[in-house]
Amino acid sequence: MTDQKAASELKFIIRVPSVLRYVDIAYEFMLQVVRDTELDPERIDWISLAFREAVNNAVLHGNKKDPEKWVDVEISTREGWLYFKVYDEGPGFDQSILRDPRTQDNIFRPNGRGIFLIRQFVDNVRFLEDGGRFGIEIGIDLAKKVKKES
Amino acid sequence: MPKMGSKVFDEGEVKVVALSGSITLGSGDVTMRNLIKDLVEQGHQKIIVDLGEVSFMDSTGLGELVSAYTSARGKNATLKLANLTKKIDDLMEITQLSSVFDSFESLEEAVQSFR
Repeated sequence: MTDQKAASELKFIIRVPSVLRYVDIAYEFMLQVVRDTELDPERIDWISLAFREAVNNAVLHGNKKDPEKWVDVEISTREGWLYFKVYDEGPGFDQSILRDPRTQDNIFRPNGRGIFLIRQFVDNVRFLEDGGRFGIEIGIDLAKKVKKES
Repeated sequence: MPKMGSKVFDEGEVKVVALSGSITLGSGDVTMRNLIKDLVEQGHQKIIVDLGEVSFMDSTGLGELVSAYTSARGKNATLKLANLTKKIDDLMEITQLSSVFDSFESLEEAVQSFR
């Protein structure tokens, strides 16, 4: 990567087997890339958590930890934004089932906080369908200086 | 990312579970659940989870804390938290789990609250 390239746009694609211990490898890779952007260091912890939630969901819920299935991770920058795209080989899910984990009905549930946390810490979330793959795109405005509050 | 570590000790009649490292999916989540479940099943009624050395927690870790809380409550035991780092405190606020758990700034304060 040349310095000129680093100053403009980045794009990395990695393919991770659906095995939990490899989530850490994807996570460490992401951290290296994110540190090479202009992201406010104060936000890195929260952005990293959002990334981890997305990859966890892909391994656990999308691919059901099937080691024969892949999670494809794309990390890129474009026009002042950082994007994570995380694809799995699952069928996707009905977004209407997403619950607010803060309500009295849900607060004692052990699960259902992953997508909620992603939405708290990033600037844009989109669900993607791409040729039989299901994915999530997380967008982060690099110019923002403070983390998004609840 | 450091794996979860744990240490269980007594502070009088209170059992303290001091955790460290990461509590994330596949790294410590099940261990934490089992540790606390075992204490509850052994009949311990007063449990403190000390999170002072926990560097990272994801939604799975939060879910395990909730499971630990509900299993303790189901056996009439009480689970309290101590030494939350700023990051974990923020997570508890954002998810409003701060309204569920009694949290204390130090282990001493948490132990004292049981007296």
